[in-house]
Amino acid sequence: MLRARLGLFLKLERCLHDLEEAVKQRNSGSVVSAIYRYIATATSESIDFSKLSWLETLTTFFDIRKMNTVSIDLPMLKTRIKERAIISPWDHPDRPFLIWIHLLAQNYGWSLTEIESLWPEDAAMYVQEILVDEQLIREWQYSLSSVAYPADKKGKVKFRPLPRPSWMLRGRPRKMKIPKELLPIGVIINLSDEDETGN
Amino acid sequence: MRLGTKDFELIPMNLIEAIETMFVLKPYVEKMMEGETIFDKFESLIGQIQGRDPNDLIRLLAYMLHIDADEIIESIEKREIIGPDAITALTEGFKINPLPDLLNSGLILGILPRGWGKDVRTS
Repeated sequence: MLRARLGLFLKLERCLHDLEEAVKQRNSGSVVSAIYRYIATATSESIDFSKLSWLETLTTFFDIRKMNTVSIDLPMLKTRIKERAIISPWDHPDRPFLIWIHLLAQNYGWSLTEIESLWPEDAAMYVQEILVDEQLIREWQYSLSSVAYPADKKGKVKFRPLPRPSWMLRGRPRKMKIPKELLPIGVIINLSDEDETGN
Repeated sequence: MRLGTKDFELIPMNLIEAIETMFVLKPYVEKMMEGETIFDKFESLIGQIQGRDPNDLIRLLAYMLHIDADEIIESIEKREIIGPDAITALTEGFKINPLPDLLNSGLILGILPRGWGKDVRTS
């Protein structure tokens, strides 16, 4: 079995999204269904899961998942997007995955077959470039509008730039609180202190 | 495997039974993993189940033995087997469905807040 190209990769991501939702809802049936669908989609074979133990099924699932993990250092992929509270009327479950194909087709004029044959890492880098271009164009257009120059209470006009997505912002990453139970267990030895004292 | 008046065949769980088992174990994992040895952890699990919801023991047995929970309850009523019989059955169940693998898988799937860790033999 080979690593998934973009077309298959997006289908697998959809299965993982369904799995995440099923876990949140504590729905064992949907969890199992998402795992079976993930393996069947990745292998393109009809598998008789009833003959497999849970450990065999899950080991297969974890192996395929590990093989298809995108592990590139891309700002766009490193930032976790907050779940939107307001859902647009035109949203549907496949939309987050179709957006990638839509952006690549719209900007480069490639066919669906060409786009689906890309490696996910390449596609991610292209999508980031497209999003950067779109943002910079929007910022330029916004700066030409009077909306970008609001007056304060004293009537003084000041330029207010168009907000950027978090992954485009420079600076230190936002501090995240880590639950106590996820912190390392045991005595923590600070090696930097030992060096200073010569121990 | 004999539980109460009946014999049960011990075969590994199917996926849905394993996922249900992970959901049942969820409230007990944190405290259970405070134990140093595998015996401490198992003892903690049993103690917590008895204190919190003894029905969870029946659920775990039902998944491990692939039978209806009512059947287990019936056996318990007839022979009062909630003691050593049930614990032995659960231990045997976790031998064939390794607890460390269940916990580590549950962590990766996002069901459990904690896994067993890397080295399952020494802890």
